[in-house]
Amino acid sequence: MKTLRKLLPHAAIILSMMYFVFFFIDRVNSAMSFIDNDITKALLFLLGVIAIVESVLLIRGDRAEERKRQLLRARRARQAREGEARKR
Amino acid sequence: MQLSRRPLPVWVLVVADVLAFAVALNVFALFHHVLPWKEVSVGIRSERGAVSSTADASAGGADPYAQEAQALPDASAEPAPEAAQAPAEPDPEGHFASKFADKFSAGAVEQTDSSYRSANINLTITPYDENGVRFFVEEFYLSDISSFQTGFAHDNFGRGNYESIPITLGRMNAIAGINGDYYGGRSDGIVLRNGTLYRDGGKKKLKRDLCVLYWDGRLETYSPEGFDVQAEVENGAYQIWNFGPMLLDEGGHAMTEFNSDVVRRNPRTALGYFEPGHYCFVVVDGRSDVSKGLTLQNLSKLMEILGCVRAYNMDGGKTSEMFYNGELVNVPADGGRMSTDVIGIAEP
Repeated sequence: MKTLRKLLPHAAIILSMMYFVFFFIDRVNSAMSFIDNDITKALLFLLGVIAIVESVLLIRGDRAEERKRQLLRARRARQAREGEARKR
Repeated sequence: MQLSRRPLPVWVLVVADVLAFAVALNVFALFHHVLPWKEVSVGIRSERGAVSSTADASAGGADPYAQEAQALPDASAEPAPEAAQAPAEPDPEGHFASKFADKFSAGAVEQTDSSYRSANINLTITPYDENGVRFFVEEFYLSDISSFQTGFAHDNFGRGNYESIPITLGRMNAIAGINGDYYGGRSDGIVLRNGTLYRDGGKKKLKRDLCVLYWDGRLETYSPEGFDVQAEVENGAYQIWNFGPMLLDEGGHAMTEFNSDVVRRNPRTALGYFEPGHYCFVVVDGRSDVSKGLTLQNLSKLMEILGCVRAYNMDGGKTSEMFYNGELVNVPADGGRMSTDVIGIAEP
């Protein structure tokens, strides 16, 4: 899972770069159907899947990070309250 | 253990991504236009003689043959001996022996380095070198439309089938020929060759102009909008190319705007039409010090000057090649390349 998470952004970069190439060469010679063909459509589907998975993982990671921060803040607040109580 | 947890340097990641990108592009190219993909032919045959005088009604074009038929030589014209049995009137099956009787020989083949004359074919090659552009015109008259043939690389219909153009032409016993529309580099569009519909375009919207040669010898060019392949098959389509663009308008005049992105100077291959049974191939050399090629607008003007009433652009660039008697006529850019299909002139 960790390896997959590390590879996904690179896959997204590579597929996006491929699309840049297809975009430009299609403008030069559209007759070769560099964009409008089954392989490119499959690659586009793959890029879409990777983008969604990557986004979900990123959102999940952000939320976990936020939760951690909240827990840390709550723990520090509790420790501070306990410290004050002990002082009293 | 600690060392393995350290992230890789950025430059290593960048290099790895670039290498993976290069590999991915090559794999794409391999599957997109190198490896052959078998395709199943639609298999519908268009019948010779099934030519309708309203053939163009479905596509919205004019019917030049209706006018040209009136201008054909009358039956009293003295036919050549070999054409004595051929019909004197325009034939929906594409016989032109009496129409061009003076163009054909009595039977023997008369061949030179730049011409071919037989009982069925009259072909002349003329080289031109003007304003830094070198081009070749193969003008020909046919006694029978079946001399106007097309061929697939390796005699197989399918994507990614490539073959050296003279080999394909040789298999067809073609006297002369040019490259085709490179149908095998794409999976879309319409392919109808020698009367058989191989690819009907499916449900995809057509994007490129079309060129239809009918069994009766007419040649028409069409915009993709509203093109009905089934109607054209019923109307006697003998060949359909789907590359383009068309180079002359309905009045036979040069155009300034084209349904193509490749408008700049390039090596070019074009098919020209004068009247049923009378056509020309034009190949323009380019991308060299000797010849810089033609823009689509220049090519359109050239076809108009040659006197064509319809003209259509075939695949160009390195693919542009013209052959006569098994010999290369032009000098292809970067040595040329293999093609998926050809157009040839052969004895019927």
